[in-house]
Amino acid sequence: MKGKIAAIVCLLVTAVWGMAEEAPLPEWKGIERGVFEFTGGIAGLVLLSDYPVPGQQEISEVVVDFPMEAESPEGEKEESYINVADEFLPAYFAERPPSFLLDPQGLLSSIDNTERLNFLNYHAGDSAVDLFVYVFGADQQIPSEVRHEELMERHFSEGRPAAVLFYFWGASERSMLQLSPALLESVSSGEQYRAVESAAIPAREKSNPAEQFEKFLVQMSIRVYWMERGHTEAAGEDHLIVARPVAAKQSKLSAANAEKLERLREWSIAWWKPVVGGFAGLGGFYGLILWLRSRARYTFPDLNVEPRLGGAHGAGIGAVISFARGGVSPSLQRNQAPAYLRRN
Amino acid sequence: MKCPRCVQRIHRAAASCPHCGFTLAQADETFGADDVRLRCLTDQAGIFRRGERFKIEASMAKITRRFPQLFVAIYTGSLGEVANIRQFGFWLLNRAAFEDVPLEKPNEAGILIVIDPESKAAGMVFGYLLDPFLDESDTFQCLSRAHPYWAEGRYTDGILRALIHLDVILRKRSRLAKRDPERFERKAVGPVAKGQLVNRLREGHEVKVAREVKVRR
Repeated sequence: MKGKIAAIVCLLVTAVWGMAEEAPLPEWKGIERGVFEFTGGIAGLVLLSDYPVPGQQEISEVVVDFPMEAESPEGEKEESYINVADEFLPAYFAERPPSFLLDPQGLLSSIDNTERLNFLNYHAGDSAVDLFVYVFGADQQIPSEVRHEELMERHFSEGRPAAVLFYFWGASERSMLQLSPALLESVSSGEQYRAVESAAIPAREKSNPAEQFEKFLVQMSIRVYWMERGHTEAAGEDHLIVARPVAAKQSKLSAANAEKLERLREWSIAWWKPVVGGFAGLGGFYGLILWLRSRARYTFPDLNVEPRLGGAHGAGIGAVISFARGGVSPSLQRNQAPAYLRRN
Repeated sequence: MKCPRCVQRIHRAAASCPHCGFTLAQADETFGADDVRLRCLTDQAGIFRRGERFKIEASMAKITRRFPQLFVAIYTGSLGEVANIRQFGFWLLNRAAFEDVPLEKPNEAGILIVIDPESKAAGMVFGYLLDPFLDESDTFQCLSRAHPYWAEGRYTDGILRALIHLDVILRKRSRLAKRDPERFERKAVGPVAKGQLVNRLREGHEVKVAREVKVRR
């Protein structure tokens, strides 16, 4: 305890003594102040301004070059994209696509086209939301005059709810998803964006554009399924996405059959009464004939027949047949002869 | 026309069979000379059930309605030999008094079917009214329709089938008789006496001469 006190006292003494012995303040020497003022300097000004201290290096301005925002690669690529050729525009955008896969430019091989279309047909059969895919080239862009909202409103406002995917062959990350008006209320744009992103990520793992497309479609089908679930839950159990089904693939034969059936239906509506009446009339007429026949009476002229063999009433001897089991068949009994005249 | 006993052909107005001498009197010796009272459907052999009797009687009544002049009678019983069925049928048709047949319908208008379940044989006879219109082949066809059923012991079904075919044959003959009555009149005409034959030849000759005179004019 005494040692601590002694240490503290020593420190205090030292501090006091240090304070007592300060370094001397700077002083002007000789005529230095006069020369400084003569040259325009003001004594003490250096302390209040940013003027450089005489004799010290000037502070040069430090220019910090902040890096400019790098130009987006899309921006650079957008400049190199080409519009879809005019000759293909009607096939793409003139009407609702006849099938779920629309590739008028023939970017897919026939095998890939068939397989992807089969998948989309399978999806349509399993889901209440149809998935339409428009295929464009990796270096193409949709012309600006084609407005997606108008396209969806014009072609996909009727029929089953649809999700339309604009897919760029070999550049899946550029794909865009549009929804029919029936789905827009329950599916946000963020969800649409996330659907495309989540489908593009696994697609990028593949190097082959065909495999990318396949992977992309599978993921997109799953995302569409979740959209459908969300829409169903939002609308309630009673508002399942059930609309007038639109045949995605209408062959000429089915269209002709449908037309024939429609004609047959109209004809039957117009003519069923006369036809039924005609059949009823024929049936009634036939029944009348049967009834008249049943009431018909047949007579025989009373001819004078002389009696035979002493019989006063009749002597018409008809046939006699034997029906014993294992006996003679009727055809062999046609010749009616007495037993003693038959050869056994 | 055949003899009931020897089944040989006889003349349409033969008083007795020229081959065996059979007459009704000989049948009376076998079966009895007195009239027999019975109903149209007499099941002496007891082969019909009650419900089956109704069916058979309904079918018989249907024929009677369609052919007001005629009636159908059916008799079942044991007659011994097959050869006796014809004689019995001939005798029964001439000696039977059917109680349920109106008096205005004589036995000449009757068609009698006789069935012997014991000897497994059946025969059909008919009266003089139908003599020009029916023959042995017609009755054979009717009985042939019933043969497969009777062979299995289904007597009712066999009788119904036979009656249906009889109905068909009688309708045909009735229509044919209306269209061509002379065809059947020739069958009914009795033997022509010599005097009548000469008169007919003269009448025929006169008619022929009259026609030739007309043609020349």
